[in-house]
Amino acid sequence: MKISDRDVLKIAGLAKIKILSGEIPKIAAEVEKIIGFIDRLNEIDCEEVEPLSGITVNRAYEREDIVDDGDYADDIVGNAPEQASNMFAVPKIVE
Amino acid sequence: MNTTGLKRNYTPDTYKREHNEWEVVIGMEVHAQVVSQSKLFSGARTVFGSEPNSQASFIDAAFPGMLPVVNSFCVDQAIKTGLGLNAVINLESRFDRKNYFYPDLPAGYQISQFYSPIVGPGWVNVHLDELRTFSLRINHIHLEQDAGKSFHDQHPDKSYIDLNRAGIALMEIVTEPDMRSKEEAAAFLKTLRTILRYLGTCDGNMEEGSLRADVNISVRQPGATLGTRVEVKNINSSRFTEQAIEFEVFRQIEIIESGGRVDQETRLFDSISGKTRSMRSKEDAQDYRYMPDPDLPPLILNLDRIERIQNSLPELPDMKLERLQKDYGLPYHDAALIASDREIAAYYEECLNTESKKHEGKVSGDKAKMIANWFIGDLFAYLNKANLELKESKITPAHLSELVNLIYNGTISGKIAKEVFDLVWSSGESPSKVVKNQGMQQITDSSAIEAAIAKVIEQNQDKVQEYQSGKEKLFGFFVGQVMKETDGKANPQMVNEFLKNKLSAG
Amino acid sequence: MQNLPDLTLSEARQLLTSKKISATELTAEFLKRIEAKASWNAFVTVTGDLALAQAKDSDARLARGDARPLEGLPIAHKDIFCTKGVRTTACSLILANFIPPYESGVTQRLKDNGTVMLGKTNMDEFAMGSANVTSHFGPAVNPWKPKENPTQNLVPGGSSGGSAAAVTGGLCLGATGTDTGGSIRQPAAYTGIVGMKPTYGRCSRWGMIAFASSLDQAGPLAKSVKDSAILLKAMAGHDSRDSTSADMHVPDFEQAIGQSVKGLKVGIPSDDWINECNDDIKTMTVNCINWFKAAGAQIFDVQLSYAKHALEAYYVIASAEASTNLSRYDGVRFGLRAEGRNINDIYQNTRGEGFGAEVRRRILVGTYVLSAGHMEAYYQRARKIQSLIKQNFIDAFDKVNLILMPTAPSGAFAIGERQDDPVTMYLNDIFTVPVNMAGLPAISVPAGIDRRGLPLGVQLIAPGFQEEVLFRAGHVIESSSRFVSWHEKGAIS
Repeated sequence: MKISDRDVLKIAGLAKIKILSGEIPKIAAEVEKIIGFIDRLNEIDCEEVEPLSGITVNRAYEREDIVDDGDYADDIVGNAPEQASNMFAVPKIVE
Repeated sequence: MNTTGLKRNYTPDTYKREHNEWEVVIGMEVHAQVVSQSKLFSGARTVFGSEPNSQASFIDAAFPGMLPVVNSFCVDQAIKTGLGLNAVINLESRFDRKNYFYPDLPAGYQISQFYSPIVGPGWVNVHLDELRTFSLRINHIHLEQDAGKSFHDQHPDKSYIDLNRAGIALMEIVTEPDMRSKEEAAAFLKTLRTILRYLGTCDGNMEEGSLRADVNISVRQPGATLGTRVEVKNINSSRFTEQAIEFEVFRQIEIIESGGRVDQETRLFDSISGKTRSMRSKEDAQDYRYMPDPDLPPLILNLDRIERIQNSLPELPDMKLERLQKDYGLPYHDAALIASDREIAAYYEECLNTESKKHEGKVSGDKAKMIANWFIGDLFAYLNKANLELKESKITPAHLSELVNLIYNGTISGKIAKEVFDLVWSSGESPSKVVKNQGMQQITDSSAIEAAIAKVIEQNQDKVQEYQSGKEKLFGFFVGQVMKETDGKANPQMVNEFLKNKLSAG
Repeated sequence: MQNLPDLTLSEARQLLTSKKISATELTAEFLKRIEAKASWNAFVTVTGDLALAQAKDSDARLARGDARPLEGLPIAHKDIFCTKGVRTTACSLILANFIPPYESGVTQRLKDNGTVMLGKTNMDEFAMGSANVTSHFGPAVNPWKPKENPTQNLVPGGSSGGSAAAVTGGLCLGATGTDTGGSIRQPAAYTGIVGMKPTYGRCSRWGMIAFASSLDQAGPLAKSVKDSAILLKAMAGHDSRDSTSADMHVPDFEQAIGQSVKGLKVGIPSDDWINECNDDIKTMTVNCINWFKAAGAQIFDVQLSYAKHALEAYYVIASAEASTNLSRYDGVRFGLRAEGRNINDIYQNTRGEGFGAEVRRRILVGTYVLSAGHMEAYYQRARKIQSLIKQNFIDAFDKVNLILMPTAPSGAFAIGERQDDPVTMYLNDIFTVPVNMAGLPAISVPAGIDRRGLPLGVQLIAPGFQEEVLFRAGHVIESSSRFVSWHEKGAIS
């Protein structure tokens, strides 16, 4: 599968990762190489195979509806790069 | 009542234009906040309006290494909702990640159910009024997390994010495009809200955002294939639903009739202008990269659990409406009003219970109707005036039932009953106590009534003459005078009967 | 008395309980040595004061006869486990200043067992790598040196390279690691120690920074099979905060040490792809087979034909999961925030600057395979291959009790090598990845020395939750190989 510079920009946009324009061809080549590698999966006929789900635990454990967490807003915002009145702050979002 | 497909017993209105006739096609995705103590995947509280981030756990804030564990009760609530909407419950469902970046979505993905939801197809009956009913298909219901809340108005160039709401369980109830008018859409939303409140799975509080709808709207010429749909996001009332649909229908017809094409896009409804505006078009549609959440194994349900929940279901509004009409002969309007809210219905049925206990399990249709009248007519008026909730009323169901019995057995007249009602309302004392303390019992002693009549005749000889010479209109005057003489307590039938005899006897 | 840093964990335990040494003495010695060997870059955070305080508490407990199972034993934690109040970075710039307000499930258990934490060890950024060269804090160095070039710096393997270097180099008695595609076993093999990857679900993932959730599993790196058994017993157990944690009894693994392998059925994969390794590795494998035979085990051929494709499927699944797991590092709630005029700039700049090249690459690949139109072709297909791989193992385990194969295709290589393109580096994981894809337990045990004088590891794989057989059989390899530790060998001191 050919990976173009545009493909790289598209996936980088989805992943929200800034890529400097000078890096694009290199990254495109690396991603293409990896995709080429994983394309070897196509050698296997697995039309009829069920995809694996849940490796060892096959059933969700369900917890009881009990309040046993929270009430530590200071810790929640304690690592935040920017906060105000115990809320996270970011540049104003215009919708 | 085993309607499974789209049915209606009337023809919906269309929009007629100079050359064309247009039909609107509506589907909805309703987000209903699940009633639970703790969040869908964490043990943090779900109370509305708490201090910022006080009910955010490290899980809700997506701290490194934090993992979700599903809340069993939220699962039960989704099953209950599914059963209440006549839907298939899937014995195996899965949680998936819906990936997108937004500051109030801490993990960068929302845990939802995209590939295999917990509830499959179902249906619901919706009454527009006494005569018009339609049924609508539910496509599926899935469980997902709510996002946090962003505040854009607290700082000139900052947005603030509070994660108290992040992680609260939501049910997304997705309908088929089965609605054909704004009226149907509004009625469906109301019906759904009523059912959810009956089930106790969502409090239906639209102002707090517990119930909000994304409405998909398209227009077509009747019989044509579906038109391009526009999704109007985050509508939080039936009225706004109608406004948004009205606006969209005209906008879309206008575009098509002037030779244009409707864009498939997401629009926002502005409740102040009543208009919708474009948010994003299909071209820059999000690629959500759904994938199974590797932190959560499949959710496996067994039949016992579903049966236990099935057995716990309350009588639903549709059934109640039918029963109230059938068993008590209540008119549709009264029955519909009573059935429209679980608390109202519970109050009314408590009145009937009191009544039934007193009378060997029987409630006569008369009394049921009388109770309904006092309840819907008088009590509602008082509550409205005082701006109180039903549960705050000092008049209990037992009071209302007692009051009706006092009237029914002739202890007080209907007119006195209004005074008794007023006193019970303000004091919370039982009607019989009020009647006794205030000496309001109806006079049924014939000699007392006869004495009063004799006194009135004595004092109004001239009017007696006029009456006897044919001015029969005066009869009302005599009744009034006798009632006045007995402080309104004389039994009106006896007064009528005795007066007639007396006056005609001359 | 023996040089303290040369002690195994079980030896140290013996000396502590018999009060021949104190925890404080032991801890101080390790701290001194960590400082002396700072050039190995094995630790990214040393918690000296905390360690000494814990040691003091341990000594008090030992004195009053209130000792917990691992009382006073100094160990190290991979910097992927959140440690309350102690910086935890996953060796990424994006988390370089993150101080968790909580303790991970695994480190909590070890703490509750009485261990002393010396600090946090170096690793590949977010555990993505096989050589510990992607760390934001620079590569960790393998204490072993090639005999023909004793100044050359080799990789300790990855991603748990810091833990491996610290254990082999005598900077601690044992260490935690995580293994998503071989990140415990491969560094153990490169450094001549024992690396144990338990069954998926055996150890809690709560508080462990996620790379690929369906594959990540914590386990110990230790100097001996017995130490490994002791550490795993303390680390493992059900955690109701982790939905993928298995509610299974944790046996006393130490009991398995010394038990006979007579009659044990050992499977050797006969597929071609197994030969994609160098001659020293092949010789090592043959030696292992002979040792097992000598110990009374029976040898059988098994087929793992689909495991050949495990690596490709792994890179789809691991990258896909990583791409979404790492979305939370967005500069809003914790970690690095780069400047930006609006929220989108902040996202792009923070993630562009905060993640290193390998992490960015995997996020991009993961995003690509999940994006519209590719989900079916890549992700779903990889899950199907995973089913086939799992079935391969199920079928093999119908015939045998365990499977033997090399841990890695070669011994350690020089820092800077195999970096021409990412796929070359990925091929280091060819023998370890199938195990993660099937969720199975596996152990890497030192089993030989290559022609450069560097250690080689053999891998034993068992059915789910049968770690005991690995300790039993691993101990047989360990005793037969008469492998000598880095320090005894005197490669450098």
